[in-house]
Amino acid sequence: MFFLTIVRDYLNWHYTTALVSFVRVYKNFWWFLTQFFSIPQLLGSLISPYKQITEARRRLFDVEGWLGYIIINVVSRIIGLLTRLVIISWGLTSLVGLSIFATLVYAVFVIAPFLIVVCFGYGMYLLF
Amino acid sequence: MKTLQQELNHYRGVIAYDATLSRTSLSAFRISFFVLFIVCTVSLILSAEFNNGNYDPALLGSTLIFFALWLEQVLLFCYQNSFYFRGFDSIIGSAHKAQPGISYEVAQLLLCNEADVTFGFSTSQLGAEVLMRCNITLEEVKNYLASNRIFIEPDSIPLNVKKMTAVYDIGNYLYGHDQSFHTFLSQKGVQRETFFGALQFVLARYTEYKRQARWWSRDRLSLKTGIGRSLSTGTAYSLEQFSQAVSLLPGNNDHYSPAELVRIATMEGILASDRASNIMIIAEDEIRALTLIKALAKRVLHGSGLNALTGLSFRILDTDYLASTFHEKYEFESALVSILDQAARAGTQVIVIPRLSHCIATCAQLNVSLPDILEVYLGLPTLHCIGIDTSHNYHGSLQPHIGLLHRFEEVILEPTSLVDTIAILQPIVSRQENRRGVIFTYDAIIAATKGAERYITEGSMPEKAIDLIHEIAKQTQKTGTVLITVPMVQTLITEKTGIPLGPITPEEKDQLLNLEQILSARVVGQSQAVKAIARTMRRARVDIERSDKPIGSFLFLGPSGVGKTETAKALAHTFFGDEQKMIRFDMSEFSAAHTLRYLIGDENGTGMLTDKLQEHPYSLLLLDEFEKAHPSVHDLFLQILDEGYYTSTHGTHVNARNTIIIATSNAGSDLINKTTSIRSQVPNLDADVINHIIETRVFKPELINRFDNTIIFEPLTHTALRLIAQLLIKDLSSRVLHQGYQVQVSNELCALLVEKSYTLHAGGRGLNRVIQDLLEAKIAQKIIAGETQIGGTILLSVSDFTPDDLMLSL
Repeated sequence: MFFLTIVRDYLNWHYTTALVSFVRVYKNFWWFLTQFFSIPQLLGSLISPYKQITEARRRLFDVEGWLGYIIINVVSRIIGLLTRLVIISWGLTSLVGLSIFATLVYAVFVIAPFLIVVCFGYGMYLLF
Repeated sequence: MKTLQQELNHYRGVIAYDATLSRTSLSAFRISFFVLFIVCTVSLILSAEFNNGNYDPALLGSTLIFFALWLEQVLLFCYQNSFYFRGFDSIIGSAHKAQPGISYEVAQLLLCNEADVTFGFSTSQLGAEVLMRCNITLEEVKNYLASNRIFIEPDSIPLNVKKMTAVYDIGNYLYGHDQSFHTFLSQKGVQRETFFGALQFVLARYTEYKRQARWWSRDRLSLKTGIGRSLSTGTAYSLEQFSQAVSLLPGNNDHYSPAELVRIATMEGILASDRASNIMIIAEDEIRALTLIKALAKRVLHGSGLNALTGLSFRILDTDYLASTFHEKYEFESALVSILDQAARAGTQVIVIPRLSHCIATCAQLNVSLPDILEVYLGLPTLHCIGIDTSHNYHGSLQPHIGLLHRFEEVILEPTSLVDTIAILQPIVSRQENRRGVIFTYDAIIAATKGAERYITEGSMPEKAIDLIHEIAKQTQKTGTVLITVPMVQTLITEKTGIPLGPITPEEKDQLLNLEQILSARVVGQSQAVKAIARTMRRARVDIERSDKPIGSFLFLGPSGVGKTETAKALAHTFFGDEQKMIRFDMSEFSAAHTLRYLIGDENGTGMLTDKLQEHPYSLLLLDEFEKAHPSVHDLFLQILDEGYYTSTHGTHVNARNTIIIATSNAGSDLINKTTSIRSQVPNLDADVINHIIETRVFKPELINRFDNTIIFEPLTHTALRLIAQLLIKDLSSRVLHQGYQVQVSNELCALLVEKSYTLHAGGRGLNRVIQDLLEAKIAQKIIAGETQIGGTILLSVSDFTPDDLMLSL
């Protein structure tokens, strides 16, 4: 009787609280990956110079200086854009991977009680 | 809201399962099944390879069974965790929704014995640890539980309607409602503070353990340092060359007192503000200041700080290295400007400058004005600076640079309080316990904290207490003992400082109980004074006095030669075991205003009082002729008597809490002498003398009130003088005996000396002088003249002296 109560309580938990908790844990990992790859920060500074390396502004009539200023800034921004895009793409790939993994685990989780019974029963059948 | 029984029913299944298989066993099963599942799977694939793609049914069956068992264990693990972490919210990002009910640990202890909550609490893992930390043995707990007592049933415990009922609430309820439990604790000497302190200590430790175990929570995940953040922030290469990242500082203490957390938040707010975003930390302890900056840097790095601070990099500038690299003014200045220029352009640098005044002095040696250069850059919104210096240097060396200081916002780091220190010590104690295999009782932690604060003069808090914890844990590990108790901490402090603490030894007990007799053997005719001193000293030894004041402080008033100094000497000998432990100052030397600096130091030196107290923190401080000191010196002692410490000119905190302070004064002597003959008609002599002193403005009333006791030494009576004469002659005899002669002084001569001394109001000091001048001289004369052979007796009587001799000496 006690065993049946435990099984009933467990199944009740499995299809109510656990599913909600699963989503919460998934959100935790989503949050972690976005923070780990600094996605919001990198998107916010997508075309900023690489590590803020820039040339100081020149006086109005210093044509050579202005040219250097523009070239260095443009090059710095292009390098910055590319490196940030690389990291953002890693981050996005990780997020997609996490979502696929989470979906699979979620699917397995939903059918897990049946899966245990089936695997254990069929395993016993094959063994004996 | 659910009732307690409903809550218990909710947990019943999982707790029964936990009682059968612990969390550790579950983890072992889960890992074992997983390994077996993998082994079977690999074997299955290999066997299929070797058998032309045909699976072995037995291997396939085993694989499926181990997969099923592993999956079952994973699900049970999740199921159990769901209860185990119920109400244990993540710190970052989760909504703190109130979750009423009972925690897993409460359910565990209530279900342990549903008719007796006290039994459940006392035998639960947490409750048992609390009692152990209260220095109650397992045997004592067992005996108490087996005794005849009224049981508290779970239903009588009210559930918290707003938040989860936790083990703390159960402990609180039992302490307040279970009379037998309360009595049991009291009988074991466990005070309320100790019980709740131990309860909080154990729960804080357990909460930390649970926090660590929940690796999937946001606060745990956030500890991983991200990548890519530096791409959007700037870099200052020159600065990197001459600085060190704050995050690389040694030490990994993530625990801060509530006051320190407030300081960290304040600094965060200042750096994020638009106005003065530079901080000047005024702290006596530079290491603690750097620790707080490291905590702030970590918050920023983990993304848990304010958004405005995202990407900031904290670096400690090494001006000494900079000065040793560039020897010329121009080179040095260029390098410094380049560092600041790059840092300002990067826009993400926080330059930390410890001992700012020292850095300014270093730069000044190369004729470079650091304040002028810094002032320009610190006005820029893209550069932040955190300076650190002591209060003394801030007010002395930095204050002239008004322009520079204007750029900073001050953050004063107060010395850590006792409560804060205990909070800081808790994780350190836990680490030491795990490392050394020892356990501190809660009172031992308190004793170490208070002991370090009060008796150890070197260093600052909380480092002193941390060192003491490390040392006691190490020593105890060597002896093989497990439980560290208060006497063990006190013994270590006594070993380190020489201050007697802990249980009173039988010899000490005799000494304390007979202090009046011991002092009276040396101090004659001052029974009231001796009694008052003995009372105070006994109070001090059993530690029931305020610990933030000196051990004892007395103002001795009375004419010369009545035994004031002798009492001080006798006290030093009795209490500290050595008269040399007496620090004596003739306060008439400090009668001018400028002499205060001789005591507390100036730019040229540390000061006599500071030196003496730091060399001999456990001693008797005798201030002779205190009334002659300048009022500013009186004011200094006003603070010492009240707070037990003062701050030297160099900003050092000088501890005088382990001293007995005795100030002597002749003030009021005329009144005391005048009333000698009519003593019976003056019932309140003490009050009259004190009023007289206040009226004549010798001492301020508040100064007199700061002393523990003002003791009036009355002029010595005839009888007292006779006793003193006998003591002095005895002392003289013993000295002469060393030369091989015995001395015998006739009663007539003794009476004559006493009579003369009494008539001249010369007191004991006069008598001492007469004995030295008259008797010692005569003995010397007789020895030289060979009147007595070695081993013989030198007889002294009135006839040995001419009337002129006697007149001259008296």
